[in-house]
Amino acid sequence: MTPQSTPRVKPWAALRAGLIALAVLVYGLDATPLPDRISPRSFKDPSLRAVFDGWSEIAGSVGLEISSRDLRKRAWAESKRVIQGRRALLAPAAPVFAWSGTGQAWGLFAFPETNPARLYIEGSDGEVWTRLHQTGDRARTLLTPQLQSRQLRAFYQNAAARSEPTPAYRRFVTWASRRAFDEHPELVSVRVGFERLSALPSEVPPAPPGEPFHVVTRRRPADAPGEAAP
Amino acid sequence: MIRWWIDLWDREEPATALAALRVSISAALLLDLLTVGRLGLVQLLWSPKEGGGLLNPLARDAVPLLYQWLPPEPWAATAIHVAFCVLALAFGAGLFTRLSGLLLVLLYAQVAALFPFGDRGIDLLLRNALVILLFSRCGAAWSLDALRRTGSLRGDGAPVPAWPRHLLILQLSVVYFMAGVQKIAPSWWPMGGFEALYLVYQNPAVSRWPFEWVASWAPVTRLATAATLLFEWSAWILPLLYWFRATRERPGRLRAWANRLKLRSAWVFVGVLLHLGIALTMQLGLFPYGMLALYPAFFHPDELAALSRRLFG
Repeated sequence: MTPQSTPRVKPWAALRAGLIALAVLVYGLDATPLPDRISPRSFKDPSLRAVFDGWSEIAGSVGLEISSRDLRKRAWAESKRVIQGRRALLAPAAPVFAWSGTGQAWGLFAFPETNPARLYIEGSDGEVWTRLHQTGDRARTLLTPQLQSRQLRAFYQNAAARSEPTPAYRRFVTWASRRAFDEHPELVSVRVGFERLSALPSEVPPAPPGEPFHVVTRRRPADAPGEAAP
Repeated sequence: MIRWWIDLWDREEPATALAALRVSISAALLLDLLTVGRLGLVQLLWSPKEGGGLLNPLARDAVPLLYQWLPPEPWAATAIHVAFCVLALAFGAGLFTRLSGLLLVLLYAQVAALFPFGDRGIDLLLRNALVILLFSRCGAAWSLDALRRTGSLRGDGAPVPAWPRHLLILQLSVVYFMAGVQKIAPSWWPMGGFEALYLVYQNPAVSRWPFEWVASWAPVTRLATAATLLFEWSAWILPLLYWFRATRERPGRLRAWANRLKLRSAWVFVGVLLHLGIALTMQLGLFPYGMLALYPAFFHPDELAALSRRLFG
């Protein structure tokens, strides 16, 4: 009886397996659940603050006293160290990530917003302000299909998280105003802003929306009916 | 161990599952692109401010390549959009599959740089899948390339390397598991009362319908929250379930139990329900469809053929 011989490994199969191992290693490292970059501003996000408040409370309930602020400080220090280490390790692969637009950075509702911002558009005929659009409102639907698009929604939700209206947000208001002036010839002014809502636990009755913020107004120039003056 | 790893990636199978992935990913992408065009958002998203866009990519330290070549005029954004649609269509139809796929990935990455806000996790994942498909023979079946080479759209039926599909299964397993790991808010966990999905539905920018009424259905949203978390955290066992299926003749109680209970099929079925649920109740654009477009990766070509026979006779 002859002993069964193992078939020879094909060089191409070995090379391919090696390359796959390398790809799994690099992309596996990129998949570690950390953001690409981190800044103190990240920790100002009210929803993320609520996460730390929640964990501080939970830690306290099992006898581990740590304030939300200390927890944030510790998370900031540790995250910064680990993110820098990961970035250094992945540096040789950075051109591949950049050219192919590939990577492993995602998350879905990692921390649901407890204070979501609601966008609105209002128009005035010179006397009365009328609400023309309100996110989620089926009666006030100016530009709703556009504003529901994933790309534009991501843009203005990011704008709502900023401390001040950005130049890009002001251009967004100009665009929305032009469309509003086109559709409503009676309007002389249009304003766009946000209201902060409270998403509370299910047993708590809903709270009224907060004060408007990032409100930017555009007036229709007398000589250009479809235009919006900055 | 090294021999095992080499053999693991050296298997072959019919090209139909990879072809299904090529078509489904392209279709999802094309649908998203056509939506951008239909809503009149092309210039707003992809032009610099000089061409009517929201952002100012020309002022960045690294100006996106497309606007190093193209003028900041509105027509340039239209040209980018048309080229994107044509490439997605060509790749989906399997026309010069590798070349159209390569150009599609490069353009997709450049468009992401034009409007980073609009580039979400699903875009990243689809580009990962496209890059994997670039190295596959996904154009060997159900493609114009197959028609050119063999005289039949179906191709010649010759087996192709299966590793791209297996790598995609690993990728999907990582996606779901990491999505679960990143759910750090207490509201996803028992100590936060499993309130996460209820909170998500209170965000009017995300929920498809007014969901104030779900407060009286709190047990349902809590159960759905717990089920989502369990589904995502259990994704790490997916490669193991595939391994059990591929080695079903070997002994082992756990292997026999997992195969008998069809745990892999059950997991995939829950995934389909999760994404259909998201599509029905939330406005996340491409996300649920893009994820479902990757689901053909979960099935061996023989399973897809059986499914096709059952559906279409």
